[in-house]
Amino acid sequence: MGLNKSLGQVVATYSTLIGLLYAFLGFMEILTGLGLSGGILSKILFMKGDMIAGAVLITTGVVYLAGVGSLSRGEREGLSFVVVGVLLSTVIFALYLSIMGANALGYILGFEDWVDWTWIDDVNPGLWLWFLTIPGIYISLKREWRE
Amino acid sequence: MVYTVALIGNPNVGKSVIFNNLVPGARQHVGNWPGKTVEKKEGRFHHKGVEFNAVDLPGCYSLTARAVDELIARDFIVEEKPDVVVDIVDASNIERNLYLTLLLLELEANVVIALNMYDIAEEKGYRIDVEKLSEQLGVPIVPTVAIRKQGMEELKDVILQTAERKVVRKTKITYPKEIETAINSITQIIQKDERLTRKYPVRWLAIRLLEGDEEVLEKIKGSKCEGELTKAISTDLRERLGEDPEIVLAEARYGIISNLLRTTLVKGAKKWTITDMLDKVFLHKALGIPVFLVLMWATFQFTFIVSAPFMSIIEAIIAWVGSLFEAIPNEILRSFFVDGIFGGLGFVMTFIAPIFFLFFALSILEDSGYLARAAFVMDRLMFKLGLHGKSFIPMLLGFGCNLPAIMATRTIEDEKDRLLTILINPLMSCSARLPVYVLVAGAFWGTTMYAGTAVWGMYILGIVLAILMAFFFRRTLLKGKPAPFIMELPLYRVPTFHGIVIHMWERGVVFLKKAGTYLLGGAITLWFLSSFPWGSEQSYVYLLGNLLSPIFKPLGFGWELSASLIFAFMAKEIVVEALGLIYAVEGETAIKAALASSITPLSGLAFMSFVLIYIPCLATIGVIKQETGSWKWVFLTVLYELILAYVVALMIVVVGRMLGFS
Repeated sequence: MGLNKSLGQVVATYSTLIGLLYAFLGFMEILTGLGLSGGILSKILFMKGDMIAGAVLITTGVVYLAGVGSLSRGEREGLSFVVVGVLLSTVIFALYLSIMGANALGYILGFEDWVDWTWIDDVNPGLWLWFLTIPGIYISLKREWRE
Repeated sequence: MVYTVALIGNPNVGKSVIFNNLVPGARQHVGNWPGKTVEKKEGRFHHKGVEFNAVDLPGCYSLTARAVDELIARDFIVEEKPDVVVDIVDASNIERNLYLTLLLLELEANVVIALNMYDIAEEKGYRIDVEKLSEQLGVPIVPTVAIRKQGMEELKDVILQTAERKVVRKTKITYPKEIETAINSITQIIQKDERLTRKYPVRWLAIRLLEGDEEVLEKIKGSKCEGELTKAISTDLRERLGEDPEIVLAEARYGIISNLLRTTLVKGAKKWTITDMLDKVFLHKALGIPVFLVLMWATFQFTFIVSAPFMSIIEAIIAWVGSLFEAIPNEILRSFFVDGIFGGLGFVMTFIAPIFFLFFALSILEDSGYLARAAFVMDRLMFKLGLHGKSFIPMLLGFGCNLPAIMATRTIEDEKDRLLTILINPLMSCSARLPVYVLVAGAFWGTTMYAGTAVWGMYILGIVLAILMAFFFRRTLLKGKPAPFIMELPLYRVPTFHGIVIHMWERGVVFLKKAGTYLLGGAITLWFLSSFPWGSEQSYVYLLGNLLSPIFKPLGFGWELSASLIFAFMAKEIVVEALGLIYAVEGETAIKAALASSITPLSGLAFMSFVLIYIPCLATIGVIKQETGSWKWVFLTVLYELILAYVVALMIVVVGRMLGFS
């Protein structure tokens, strides 16, 4: 089973949504870093104001969005952008998870730099957004769509 | 009885993985080939009660005398005559890989083929008749998937059988009639000299002479048939073949391979592989570079933040061991151990953690096949700025250590391209600078993401400056265009944990060796200069620092930082040792606090950039002299880097202040 047009459009819709979400939250992160956005929304979304991390989220979003055109035409090449988008999301997620683990280790061992650490300090959009890429992981692993 | 097994193959065929599968890590010995700077790996393994010594030969496409790697591999087979030569062939790229196989058969080596990456060949739709191919080549073939350790036991069995076989099967590669006639006439002449026939395979010698191999021409010098051979090669052949014999023979070999595969390989419809998918984005014109930057950012965040608690663990251990020396009654001796060794060298040792974390992350990128893509993506930009595509690999190696990176420029054929790459290589941020970044970034931004970003920024700054300086040199000292570049991209693979750990260890251990030599020497020197005259408020370091501090005053560096920069000439990590001794405080937290109270964050950033750019370390200077053969290029590198370091650091301070930072 290859990627037909209707299936491609479903994947394209997903790719658009996830891509826009990553890009939007990336912009929000930059705005927070610049002090132009703070407030309750930033807190709800766990914004940290790291501008480079914001640029990283935007790049990931753009990768998802770059495949939308070919996906909506049912071209399997569009799946490449979903696969790499998922890969980048996973790298970012794994990085933040490792950071959380490392900080937890520092806290458990009672080192000075980690005395005030709480797990919530390490929650950020790059971490929680990954859970929305689970359908993307399913798409990426679906071998027959690529053939 | 110990059998010698040589492993040979094209680059990126999984040769190292097979070597690691055969020889457990602890039994591997890494050194250099005699008289060469090429790494030599060997180690022993047992199979069914028989002992083998495996030697990992350098990866090569051919066995000519032009490239040092090929010469090493060839000389080993010719001179050492290993009992078995395991030729690792990439099954998914079998046509090109069999070229080396034919050369090995010409050498009359006792060949066993490991048909590796068999899974990828199958994924590509290849169906290889292994039995028939083995029969036609006259050598045993074992399909393997080394990364999953598949086929390893079978390979060991075949190595054992082949080693124990008394007579080496001489598979004759038959060339077209005209070439065969030429080979035969040369063979007849060689056979007159018993010294040559005893030492070298006669037919191989004839073929190499036909191809005009300079190294082989040297071998026949002094032979009683030298004159006759020289005459036969020069007159007879070129006229009869009408073309360069080397080209004729290469074409003939590819013809033989094509005939072999006609009956043994069926290529199904080309499937769209995962490599095709990933390359669509990783090599994308617009997205390739941003994706590369994202991955590098993740690498440095991982290096800096995740390693932080491990640094604290090492520091706690060193502090505990150091405290045992507090009981020494002699004041000077106590100071030597507590301040000099544990306060200075011990402090640098805490940076083992980020260095190993960096190499762990880079090994993942390399083993997965991504780093080659990064080189490809950057090549477009680099070519526009006057850099050769092959420059990227030495530049990338520069992230580890500038020393092997500069040596790796030997792969660049064009002299101007090579010189240019050598000149800019010290701007690539080697792992020795990492401790300085980690310390300064940590002093001002703690364990937050900003610290990781600042460290990443230094690496990016190094790349940007290298590119800008290349642009400048290309338009001034080294005018011209870079030579065109063809690059082979390996297939993507899921890296194995074992492989990553081995690569990380091989690179990280360089730091440990340095700790026992340069850094120990540096720690002792620094302790002496900062402690003497004993009991005086004004130590030698203080005097030196004060001498330099007027120069660094506009950058906001006090005498402490100025003095630390002098010693970094030996090795960049010594800056960290020096700061520990100069501030006369113990422990990472105390040094960070001392640093944060003596300079502003902006000056901290300027200090990081200064350490990144200014003069290469002593060993790098030595290798620049060795590789360029002239002090002129050494002086130029030192001079431009000193000026550039000062200008960039000053710009950071001035522009930063203008933007309202402090």
